[in-house]
Amino acid sequence: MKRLGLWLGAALAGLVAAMALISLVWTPYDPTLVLGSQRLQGPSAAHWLGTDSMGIDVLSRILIGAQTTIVVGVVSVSIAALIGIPLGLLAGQAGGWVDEVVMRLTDIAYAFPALLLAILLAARFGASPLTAMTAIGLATIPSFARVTRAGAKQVMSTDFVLAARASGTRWPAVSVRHVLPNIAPLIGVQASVTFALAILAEAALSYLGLSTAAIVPTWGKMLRDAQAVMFNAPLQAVWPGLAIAVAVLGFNLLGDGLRDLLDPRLREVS
Amino acid sequence: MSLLRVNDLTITFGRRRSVAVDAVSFEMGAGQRLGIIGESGSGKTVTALAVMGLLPETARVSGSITLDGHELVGMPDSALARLRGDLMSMVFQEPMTALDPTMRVGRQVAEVLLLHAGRSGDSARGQVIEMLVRVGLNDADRVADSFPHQLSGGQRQRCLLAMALINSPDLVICDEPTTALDVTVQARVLSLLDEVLTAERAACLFISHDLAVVSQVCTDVLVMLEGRIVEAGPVARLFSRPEHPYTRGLVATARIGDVMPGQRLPTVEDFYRREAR
Repeated sequence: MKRLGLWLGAALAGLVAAMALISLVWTPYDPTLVLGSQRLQGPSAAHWLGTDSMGIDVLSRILIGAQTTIVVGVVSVSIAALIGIPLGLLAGQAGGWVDEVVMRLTDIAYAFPALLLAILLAARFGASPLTAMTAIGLATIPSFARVTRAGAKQVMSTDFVLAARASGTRWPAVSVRHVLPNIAPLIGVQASVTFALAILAEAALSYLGLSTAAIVPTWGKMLRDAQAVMFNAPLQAVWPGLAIAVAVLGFNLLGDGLRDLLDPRLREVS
Repeated sequence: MSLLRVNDLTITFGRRRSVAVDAVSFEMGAGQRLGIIGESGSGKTVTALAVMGLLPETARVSGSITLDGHELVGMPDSALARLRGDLMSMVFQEPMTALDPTMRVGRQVAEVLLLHAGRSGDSARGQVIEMLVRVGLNDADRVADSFPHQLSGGQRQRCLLAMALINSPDLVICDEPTTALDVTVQARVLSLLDEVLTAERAACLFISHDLAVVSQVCTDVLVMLEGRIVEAGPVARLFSRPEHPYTRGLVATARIGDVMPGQRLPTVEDFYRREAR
């Protein structure tokens, strides 16, 4: 089937989004309710995915965890896009020393380990989802700036930009009216791939205890909890691991699918 | 007073300063139709882009270009942007690439009005439709709401004409506007251009490699070769008494009707020997 990846990606990403939405109004159990008598149960009719070492319903935690995942993805991508895209446009359009300065700064930011940035922020402002999202957002600015700059350079050299300038359009207006709409597919793909990256990064950060406060369940923290009972109850690690894998795979496939769909070289000429 | 005066214009590119235009001077009066003819690489497009101030940053320009009393060489881009689309405009060669694929054609034609005449989108719309009808697009409403890929090459070139002419510029630069079109569409677009230019009393700098096309639109012509103007004069004189050997070659190749059947067709090289480079 054509565009199988795109549809599969959209379905998986949609599933994660649906889980987050459902958990807003309903979860099978209170995800903080400790059932002391029912620890580390396997899947059953009462607890579909079993219970964890504290006796909390795993499905409820997975559903609530989807919220954090989506929020982290959206906020990180927004931070990266809101700073990265204008920087890329500026560099691509101005050229010369401005381009040079922005791109070298980008290189430096790229070379700075994202994990170190997260630890720095957590050390200074305390470990919270906000610092994690900020760290992920800041760390992915360079990739947005680069993609935007490359796309902008390409669009700037087209005849229609020359024609727009011949009509008296100035550079800032050219960027907004002609460059952005033409590189929107590129940015969409970048956003989707960055979303997947942010999910993975947040899982890693909360696994390391650099993200969430103790009460809020996230998939990364569930992995961390599962590590202690790894050999007694391996399923504890499988569920959050599977959830992370599904989310990351979904958004990556979505990004790849979008690229194939929107790539002008692959698009049929109408 | 002349509208456009180009004096000793020299343009070089890149670090090695390869010369694209070499000490070119010419003048145009208001409403005059001047053709520039020459082969690819002769510097005709570069001359036109220099007048528009749209040369890439690697270009070095010296000499002087005055348009309606404004000195354009060395003018900052923001000041030039005010003149572009207002005093002067340009029709590009490739109708396939000169329209933004993501924007409706009507909006692109209206852009000039929004930028210069201070019009809002709604009030500009009527004028856009009117202009599209004038360039021979009968279903102007549908065309204005179309994206470029939904239109044919001829329709797109008419839209570009509309874009260049809608704000009544004093000078319209046409860079081989019909080269990408087939011959029947070409003839129609040319007669339209002639009509609208006459109605607007706009001057036109018409760039082409085709003497026959230039003679349809222009009264005077410059012949450019390797960055220099080698001959200038009224089109009729150029046809009857070409002086430079290269021009004689051009005239002969434009008159293939005179060749007896069975004879070899003339080439420019029969008249003009290029120096080996």
